Amino acid sequence: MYEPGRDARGALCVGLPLAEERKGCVRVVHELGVTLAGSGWRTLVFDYAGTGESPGSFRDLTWASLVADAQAALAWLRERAQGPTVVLGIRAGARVMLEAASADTAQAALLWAPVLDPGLWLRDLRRRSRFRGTGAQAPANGGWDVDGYLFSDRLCADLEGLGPRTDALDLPCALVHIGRPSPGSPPGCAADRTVHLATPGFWLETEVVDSAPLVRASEHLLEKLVS
Amino acid sequence: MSQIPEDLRLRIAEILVDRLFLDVDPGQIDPQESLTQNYGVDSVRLFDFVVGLEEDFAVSFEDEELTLENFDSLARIVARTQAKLEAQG
Repeated sequence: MYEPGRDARGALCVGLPLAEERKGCVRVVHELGVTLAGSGWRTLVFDYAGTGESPGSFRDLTWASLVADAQAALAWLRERAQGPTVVLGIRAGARVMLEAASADTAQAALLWAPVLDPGLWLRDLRRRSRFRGTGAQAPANGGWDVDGYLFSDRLCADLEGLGPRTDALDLPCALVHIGRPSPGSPPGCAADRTVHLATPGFWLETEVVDSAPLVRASEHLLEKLVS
Repeated sequence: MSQIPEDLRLRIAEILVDRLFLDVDPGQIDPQESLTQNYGVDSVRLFDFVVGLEEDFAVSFEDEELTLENFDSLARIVARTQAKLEAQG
């Protein structure tokens, strides 16, 4: 939790990426939290059960458990929030947060390089593992080992069954595209609330990245969302 | 396979430089050199580039083709893309 040193003007609930992509975002999210605290935002960064520092096993994840965890985090933050609550969804975490948030729990959504089609994302994760030589092997007891993360058959079916998000969002939305141009945007993300950063995707990086442009863009978009 | 058009090679080189943030002129990329060993490209970023290539050229590489070795030089990337485009007619 990142706390402002004064009365909060708003609250941000962060839905992190999944699997290997989570590693590359930890530092960037930390820098965002510190920066936003300086401008009055209370920021909650949570780990879904079975990821990060949360108890449980990655192999037990389901789409329903991811969304339930996000809803619980949002509810917890709302009890302590002053001002509007915004969800920040990063990569696959964007789809989780969009499913978890509602008009009752959040006033807006900020998305970083959102995964709009989880099935396609999973396919590319498997392909990337093969490409790197780590292989996406199916363990004897089912599921896919992707870069050391065991995606259960259940989670794979959940992700593949979701399909691309095409319906209009319930919340005002802002979007940061990162890296190569994205083939699409969630319906409802207006052009004046969309930023494209021509930088490498931080979720792919093993070295420290310059997060300043992303943090600045996010601050700017948050102001637009709540003004 | 027919001779690879120079404009396809240059176009892919330009995309390569742009997407992988290479500090090199696209026309100066040695097509035979290893991208990972000679241009500092890591396998994760290279794969991301290949996925982008599929979108740019509306082609799809088979899972069996997707190995680092098959895409680790401009020449190999161009040859595989050209083959896909020709197969589509």
